[in-house]
Amino acid sequence: MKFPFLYFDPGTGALVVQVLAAAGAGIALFYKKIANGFKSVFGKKEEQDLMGDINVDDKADDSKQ
Amino acid sequence: MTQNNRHTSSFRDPSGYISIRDGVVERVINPIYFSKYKSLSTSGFYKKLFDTGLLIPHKEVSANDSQIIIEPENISFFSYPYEWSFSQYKHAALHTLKLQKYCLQHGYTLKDATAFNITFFKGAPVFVDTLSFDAYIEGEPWRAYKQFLMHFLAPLVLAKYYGNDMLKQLQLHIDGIPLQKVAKLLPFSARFSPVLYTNIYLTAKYDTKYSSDEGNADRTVTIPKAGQLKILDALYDYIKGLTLNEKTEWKDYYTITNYDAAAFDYKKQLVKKWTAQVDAKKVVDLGGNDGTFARELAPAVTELLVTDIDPNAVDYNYQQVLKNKEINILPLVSDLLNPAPGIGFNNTERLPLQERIANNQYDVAMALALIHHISLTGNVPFSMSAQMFARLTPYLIIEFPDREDSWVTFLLKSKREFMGHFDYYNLANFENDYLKVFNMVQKQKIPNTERTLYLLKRK
Repeated sequence: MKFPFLYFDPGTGALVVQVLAAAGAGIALFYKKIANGFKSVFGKKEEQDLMGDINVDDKADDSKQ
Repeated sequence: MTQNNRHTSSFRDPSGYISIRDGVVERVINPIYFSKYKSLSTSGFYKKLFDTGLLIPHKEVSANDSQIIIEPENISFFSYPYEWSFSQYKHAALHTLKLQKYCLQHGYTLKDATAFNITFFKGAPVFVDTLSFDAYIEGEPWRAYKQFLMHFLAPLVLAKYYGNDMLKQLQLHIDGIPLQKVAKLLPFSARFSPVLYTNIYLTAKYDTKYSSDEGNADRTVTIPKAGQLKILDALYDYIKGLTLNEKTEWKDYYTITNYDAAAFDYKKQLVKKWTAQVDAKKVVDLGGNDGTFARELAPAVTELLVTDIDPNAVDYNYQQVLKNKEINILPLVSDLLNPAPGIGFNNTERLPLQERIANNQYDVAMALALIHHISLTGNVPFSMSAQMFARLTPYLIIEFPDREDSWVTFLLKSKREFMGHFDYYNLANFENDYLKVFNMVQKQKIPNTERTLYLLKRK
């Protein structure tokens, strides 16, 4: 893959490995889902979430459309 | 504009550079990035990034065929990764992942993910490199993936296993910690985490394997967008769940002070009164612990930098900032006896902490319950600490605990047979040396303590 504006080396290996990393991520996310299921069943209290989740709320933008 | 005003940190990306004109920070965009900049502007994506707080907002100042100049919102004080506490570092990493996911969802991608592209502004991390965005081409892997791992995941994971010191690694490895080194350092058990196994061990292995073969530079790799999103989600979950269990000196520090609540309150009121007296708007609290005293001033000032040597105290301070949504307090880890130096190319790519503090022109520096540590733990003579403070701010509020103070007595006793070498440590000598550099504005003994508070003005 050509990167015309490349000014640092991304490392070919680090690009290739992303396919495997995605598989590992799938496993990690699957276990997390199960763990969360357990937590909600046993009602484990979550600490105050100060950093939010990965999904950024786009509502502010949608309301203007 | 000539390139003479180019900021000393800004030279890596050919897309443009940061320039300072009459004290105003501008970003010059080179023609090579014009089409991308225009796409990001006209598609409304920049606006979305501003509205969501992901990217520092900017406005366009001028545009011609050779350069476009934009002016980003001014960030008066720039902190570096090796000055962040664990929670701050985590938050910065999560911010980068959030941003990359948001980019992918809108047809863009981050072309680099260095930790130096994040700083803390108005009580939260913000991404500052406006030219780090590229159009996402379906199936392309994340080219900044390795950089993210070296700049964020590696220090955080090492800190999880070996403590806060590991967060300072970027001071040594300005381009991130080599993953092969991280893989060697981590304990064997780390392999059983699917996130660490793939992102650290496998990536280190593949990186070594492919870097030796020059023919690989043109190799085409594809990964579906869904796969890349999974990597981001899993890294986010993992990093968010990271904890650090390292006990430090700081724990209930204020519950074991050697003076009573009334004296504590008296000190608070005095500090408030004096900062108001000199009409201070920007204050730096050196050795500010968890920000207890800085918080007293918060409603009346615009900017507070609170540094402390104890990473747990700084971490607690940052959590308070998040909980209370305090936009004018910035906690930072710093040892006054060894503050962050200038590093990188020509030692000016990342500036020394003392220089950044001086450049930001704080009105007052506070040094409460600090001088005995500098003088007795660090053996720094009064004349040298006075000069150091005088370089930073025009006013200084400093507390002097005399020899009879129990902390001072403890420190002196720990000198054992060299105790006699510290006979100079007394109020008279302190005043004598400090008043060569400062003028006395106020002096007040704190009732029922062996401590005296001074308001000094630089000569």
